[in-house]
Amino acid sequence: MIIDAHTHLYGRWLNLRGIKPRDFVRIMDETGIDKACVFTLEGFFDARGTNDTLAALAKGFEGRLYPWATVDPNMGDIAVKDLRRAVLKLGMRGLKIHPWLQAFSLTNSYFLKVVEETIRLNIPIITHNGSPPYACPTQVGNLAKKFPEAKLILAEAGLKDLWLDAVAVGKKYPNVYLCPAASPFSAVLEMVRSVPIEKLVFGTDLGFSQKEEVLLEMEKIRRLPLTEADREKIFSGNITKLVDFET
Amino acid sequence: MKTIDGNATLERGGVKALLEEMDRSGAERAVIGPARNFAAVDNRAGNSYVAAAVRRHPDRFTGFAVASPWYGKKAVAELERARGLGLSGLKIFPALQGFILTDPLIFPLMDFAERADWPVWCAAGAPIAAMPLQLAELAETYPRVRFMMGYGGFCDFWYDVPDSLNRCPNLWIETSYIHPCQITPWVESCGISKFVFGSDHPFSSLPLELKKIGLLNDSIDKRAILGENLARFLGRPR
Repeated sequence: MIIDAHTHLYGRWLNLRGIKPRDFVRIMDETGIDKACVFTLEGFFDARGTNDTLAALAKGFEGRLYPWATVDPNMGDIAVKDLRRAVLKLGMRGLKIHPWLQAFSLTNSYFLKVVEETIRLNIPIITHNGSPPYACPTQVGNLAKKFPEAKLILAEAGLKDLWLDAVAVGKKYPNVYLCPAASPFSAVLEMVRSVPIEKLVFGTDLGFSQKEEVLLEMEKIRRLPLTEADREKIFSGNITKLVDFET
Repeated sequence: MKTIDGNATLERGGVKALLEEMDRSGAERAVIGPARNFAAVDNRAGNSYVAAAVRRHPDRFTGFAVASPWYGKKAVAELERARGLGLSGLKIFPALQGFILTDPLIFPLMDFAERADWPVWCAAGAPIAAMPLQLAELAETYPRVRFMMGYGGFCDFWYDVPDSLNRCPNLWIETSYIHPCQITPWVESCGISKFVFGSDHPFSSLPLELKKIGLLNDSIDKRAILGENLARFLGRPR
């Protein structure tokens, strides 16, 4: 079983067009991905309505595509309402944020209300990171310390420049998980050496990236010196403990 | 197809592993340079180590040198020494060595590169020291020096990469870390002749980086990326 914990379904970002649902699932079939957590692509620029759009796009692909919500913390209480509706009415499985593109700090009091709501709803947050000034692993670590009940996933796991920070917070905070999409191979090797294997989840950024990147990310995990049992944890076991794929 | 790795690095004891990886991957040659502590502070030891590897394996390696610009005149003297040992290019690491690409601190090393006809590979991408447009400024300041944007400028300043390349006829780009979905449009907008394969071994994986080039669409001239373009960056036979 392979679950992709980090993808973006169809939408637009400047001149980048995402991948339409049918083509998206075809790529999953061709690369051997069973299920995917799908996020918005354009909702980082205008979050209102984005959850309805994403839910509609994923309709008809139940059992393969699992949409996650995105809200705009700058909207204050509206963001909390949007999140509750996305989870309770639209059935969304988690919260995806991109603090750099959405222009908010992880210490912002409006955002902290959103975090509290994710705890009440028992859903994880996956956040873009590796990009200063708003998306650094240590900022997520700070959030993890404030909210030990929050489940926080570092998408990209610090990217190329801040992966050492991702390893540090992954080791330190029990509620921080790493999704090393686009991380250097040597960084992923260090992650499996020094971070508990249960903290690592597989992701590809498909939708922002393409089929070729999916193949490369899979190859990266397959080349790690791991037992098959541990590889299976990264490919699917760990994310199933954070996300409800059953209902 | 002839394959040359335009960016591999050595830590102490790293020669054997690199050669094995090259043999497994079918890479005939590699441009090698000192990594990590060698690049940051132990420049002399790093240059000597790389030069020894080149002397032992002249058919497999071309060697680049390092010198922290903070050493001033001593840095230039170290590059002169490295040239005497057979090294033939310069690698700079702004984030690791602690300087910004527009800082005149680096100019004495660039003056040396110009005098020696040495190409300059730059670890590029990290804010605030080594962003693509900062490298373009340096390349325009030294139009007779050939520069390489290492790591493809990965990651968050990718929008600046095409303008940087197109502004500077003396600037090439090395392909480690960047994605196929980035390389393809950049080849269209900047021309294939700018692109040079590099693995950043051992920090990325040579076989994975080569697989990436293989996954590029058929319209892209892989032969150019895997060796032909590097020859123009290196200049006279080395």
